[in-house]
Amino acid sequence: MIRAPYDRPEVLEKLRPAFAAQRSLILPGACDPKAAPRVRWRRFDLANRGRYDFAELRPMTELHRFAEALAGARLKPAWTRLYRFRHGGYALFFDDAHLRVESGIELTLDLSRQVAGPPVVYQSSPTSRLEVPQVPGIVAIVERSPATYRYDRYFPAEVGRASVLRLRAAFEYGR
Amino acid sequence: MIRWPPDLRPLVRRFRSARPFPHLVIDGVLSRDDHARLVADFDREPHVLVENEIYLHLRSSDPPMQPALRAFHAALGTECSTVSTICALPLTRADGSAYVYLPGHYLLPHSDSRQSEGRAIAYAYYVDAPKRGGELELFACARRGGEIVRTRSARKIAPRANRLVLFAVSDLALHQVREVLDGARTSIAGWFYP
Repeated sequence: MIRAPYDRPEVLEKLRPAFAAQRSLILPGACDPKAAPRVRWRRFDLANRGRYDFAELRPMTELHRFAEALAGARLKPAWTRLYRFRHGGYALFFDDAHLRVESGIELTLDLSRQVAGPPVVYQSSPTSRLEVPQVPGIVAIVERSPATYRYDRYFPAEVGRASVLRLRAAFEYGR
Repeated sequence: MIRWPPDLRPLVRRFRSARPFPHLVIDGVLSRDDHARLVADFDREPHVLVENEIYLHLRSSDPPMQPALRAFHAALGTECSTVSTICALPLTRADGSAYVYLPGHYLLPHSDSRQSEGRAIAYAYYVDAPKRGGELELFACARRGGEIVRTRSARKIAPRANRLVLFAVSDLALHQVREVLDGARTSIAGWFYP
């Protein structure tokens, strides 16, 4: 799922100082959308949290190693989920609050086939925000802290019939 | 400026019995001339694009700057006693801003309830309607252990020009402005306070 050269430990080791300085990294072209797993979708629709399809996945060793190599720390897999957003979809801070790890790393792999939708936004204060654009193949690595929340911005009608796939893997610091 | 019916009792009953939570829709609350002045001044009102996790739209200052919009805002303040009667709540003041929703703009489901701010009754007055979308959607909520566990769309209110909507603010009064699909939705909205 992770594309070369980001599957090589020595490459990730070179990126580690950048991650340590920014507490986040966005790597275009770092994953392969063709590797999106086939899943049985479950619908989530609770107005005050979000509207999307999702599937729980088993922890993926490849992503675990990738996250540990970038973070330079031992990590414990918390959960792995594939999300599908279409027109009318969204996920609010309150949805993130139910599942987020408060001290760890979150990976988001964009496994969509096309550029269609709005970004994912991580926010830790009104002035501190990170936007992860919706671009197939992009991988975002974000350190989660108690003050950091995430939302998936609303998917307006202009996305048409497209669907956006986001694979998320959360890891907690320590074992 | 605001034209209430002489007998408020039917409005009181409609407000109290409305589902999924107390609300009221009143059409033609301004005279044709007052509404026309509001439409004309709305085009001159400065708005800025604002965005966060639940909204994307254009918003004016609070209160707005143009004379007709300010007059409407002031009228709401002087009508607190009437709104108090309709909603059976003691209200003393109102705030508000002007909003423009263009295609793709929205306000996702949320409650206006903020304990620190004391909002009691929310209002929205529609200056002009979009061609498609922009409805105010009210949700019915089921709660378990203090948390909302199920939500259902219970009513959609079209944003017709010269229409005023009032609704009670509470943790369970979930509502949204559906995405505008065509045209512009212009409104003045805010809250009444005790």
